Amino acid sequence: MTDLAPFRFRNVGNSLLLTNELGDFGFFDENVLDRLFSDTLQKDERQRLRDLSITLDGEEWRLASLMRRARQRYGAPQERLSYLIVVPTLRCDLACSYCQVSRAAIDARGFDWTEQHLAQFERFLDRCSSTRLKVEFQGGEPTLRPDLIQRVIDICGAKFPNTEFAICTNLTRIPAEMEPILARPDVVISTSIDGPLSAMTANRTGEDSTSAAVFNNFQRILDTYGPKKISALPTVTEAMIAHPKELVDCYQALGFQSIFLRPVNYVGFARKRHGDLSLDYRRWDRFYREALDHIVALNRDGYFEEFYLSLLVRAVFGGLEHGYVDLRSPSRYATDYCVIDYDGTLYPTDEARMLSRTRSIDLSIGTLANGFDPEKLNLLNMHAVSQVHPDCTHCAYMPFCGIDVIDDISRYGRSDLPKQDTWFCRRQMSLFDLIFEKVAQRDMAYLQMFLKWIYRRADPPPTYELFYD
Amino acid sequence: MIELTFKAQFDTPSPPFVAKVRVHSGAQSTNPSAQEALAAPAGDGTYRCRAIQGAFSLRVPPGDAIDGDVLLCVPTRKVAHRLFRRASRHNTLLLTERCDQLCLMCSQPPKHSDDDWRFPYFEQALSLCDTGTLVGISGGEPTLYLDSLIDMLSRASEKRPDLRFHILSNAQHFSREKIARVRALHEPTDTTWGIPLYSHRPATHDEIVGKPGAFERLLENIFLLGSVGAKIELRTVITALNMLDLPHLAGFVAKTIPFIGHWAIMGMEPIGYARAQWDRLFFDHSIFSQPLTNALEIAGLKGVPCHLYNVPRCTVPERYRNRCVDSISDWKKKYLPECAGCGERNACSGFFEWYSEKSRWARIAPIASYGGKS
Repeated sequence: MTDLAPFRFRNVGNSLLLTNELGDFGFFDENVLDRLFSDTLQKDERQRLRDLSITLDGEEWRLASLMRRARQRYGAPQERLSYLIVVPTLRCDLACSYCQVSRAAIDARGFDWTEQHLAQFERFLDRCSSTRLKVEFQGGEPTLRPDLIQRVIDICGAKFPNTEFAICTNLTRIPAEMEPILARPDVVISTSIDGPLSAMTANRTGEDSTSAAVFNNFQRILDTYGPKKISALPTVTEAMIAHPKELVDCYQALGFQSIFLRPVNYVGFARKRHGDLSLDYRRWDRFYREALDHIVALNRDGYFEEFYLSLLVRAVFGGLEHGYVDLRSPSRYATDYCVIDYDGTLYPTDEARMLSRTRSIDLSIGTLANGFDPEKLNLLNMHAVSQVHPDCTHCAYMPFCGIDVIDDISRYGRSDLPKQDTWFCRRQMSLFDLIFEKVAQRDMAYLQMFLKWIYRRADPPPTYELFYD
Repeated sequence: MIELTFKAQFDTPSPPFVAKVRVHSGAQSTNPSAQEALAAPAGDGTYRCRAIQGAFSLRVPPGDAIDGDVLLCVPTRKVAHRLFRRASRHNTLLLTERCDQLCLMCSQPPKHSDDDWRFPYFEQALSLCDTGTLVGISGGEPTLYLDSLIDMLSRASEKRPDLRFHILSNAQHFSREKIARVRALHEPTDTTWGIPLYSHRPATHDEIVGKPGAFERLLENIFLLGSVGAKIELRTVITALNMLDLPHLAGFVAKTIPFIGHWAIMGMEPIGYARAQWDRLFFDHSIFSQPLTNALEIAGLKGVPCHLYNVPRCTVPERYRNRCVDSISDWKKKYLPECAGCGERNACSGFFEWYSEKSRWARIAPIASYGGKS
């Protein structure tokens, strides 16, 4: 007696891609489903459908295996809060064109953490039951308050044996008080570099001299502390959308082996200044594919990674969970990760903070003083499960994908738009199509690059079996 | 080669008995306690032993030490089997020679012999062996006597909670009814089940083990064992029939049964059926190692701990040498003349005693120095 387990399918090139509930996949002849339902499968097809646990011939262990994996993947995680984004101040010395949080002016009052916030934060940490804690300092510009950064580090250090800190800074200036903090081995910094000097000036600083200072500070940190100390992210605006190759080259010249090609969000100042671009998916897609072609070329003799695509490649072929919070389902907001704003308000993600800040919608989920609001959290989490979402549940890529209701809300003001009309979904579909098309076509340049990304090394083993299992 | 059975002359006929050797050169007035054999060197490699069952003489090859060994003495056959050797970390009880599978490369072809008469003696030996001994249980197929085996090990571990067990089994004989007994055994003891799986393709596995349906049964039972938290070491012998499947098997293991604690990929032992069919079964991975190294890489990528047993370090690319385990039991291990100049000899599995020119890997060469290039 043959039973069917849930499966999904999609035409990729000339074949039909089939995926099971947990993301095992195979390429089949386009007519395989007709043959499956008319019971005229070829012998080889029958075996491969069994291997994917799509057909089950009473083999309990195949079902047990699927169930074990599903439970591991979707079951309630043991992990409690272990990653906090804190905003010690909302003030900033820059006024970037796309500022997502609509930062406060440099001399504004009432936009910094107070003694009371620090005390509440210390008590809040008792919710973080794990032995390790990572804290990311966001802003505003956190280095305006080195004293607050130091206090937070001290508080965390006293409670956790394992700590990591990431400071997101614009690098226009590095106050002397920051140096001992930067010298700590558990501190890294992350900055924004949108391209060459002209792009930095257009997007962020408004003056070439300030842009030059950023590059100087970047170089000094690199020279003083080495490449592991610093990472950078671009935001792609009109300034670079027509120059994908230059942007990638800029990152390579800075010594990076990876770039996260990140489109401008439709949040904060960006709505006014980059509104058209941030809703234009096709322009983004053109930019992205051109950049990718260049990255493929760079990988012929070396190693270079597009962070987001490599994340998806690893999600499909690597087999281990990635933990990237905007690409999960169920999202389970505020279980292992949350944002604490300058005023002690709690948010599920940084984008949610930004949206709330511009008063588009209130996505706060509690306060430092009173903890999480379970009702708001449940409401949000209920809508952040692709496995039961009517648009996602039939998608061949669902097992590898996530769901980002916050992004939907930010772009369209609502979370119930058909997913296939959203920016997030279109981007995901386009990238997963690209990945599986390259595999179906046996495009060696891409497959070789995927292997490099999967193993994160320039000389990966030739394990092409990963693509055709 | 270390002898596992000594020729022995018994002064008086007696039923078989188990005794632990204490080498003792002192006065004859000391009397052996129960289950003890007092052994005095009598020159020319001979030991004169006294046990309460009677006196006997053993001939021990030069260089071999017997102090602390546990012997099963069988006077009618004029032999003493060394069930446990103090000097070795490879102590295995061959529970039975019967087996319900007929693996193509079996190093110890099954026999239809009656061997359950030994069980009570094995149990006595378990109570006598040294503290912390890792006890291998092998066959044949030990779980053909699953009830007796569990009874024996449970009783032994009650007296000797320090013992650890490693049981080689084809996993064909567990059942829902019996799994509770397995749980009762391994919960208080440190027990690992070594279980062979040769391919992700049922037909290939079944062909290698010579038993239709073995693959399905194996998988059902691995889940059954997993459901009671058993520690499992999966074992895959490299043959020409399954070598090319190894990378896929790695993916299959990672996906389907990642709860196994460890995966051992093993070189074939050139004896028994393997020797008889060497040309058909041998795959020289020293010439083409990619399926093997890809299996290691995929297992590593997906978080399955994986090592190579019975694989000399010089036969794999340098990057993978640290995966080779010094696994061949001391009594059947040797080195080749080439090994004399090798810098990694001490970390190497070496070669099986019965390794010969006929079973030779093409690329065997001393490695220059530890960690250096070869």
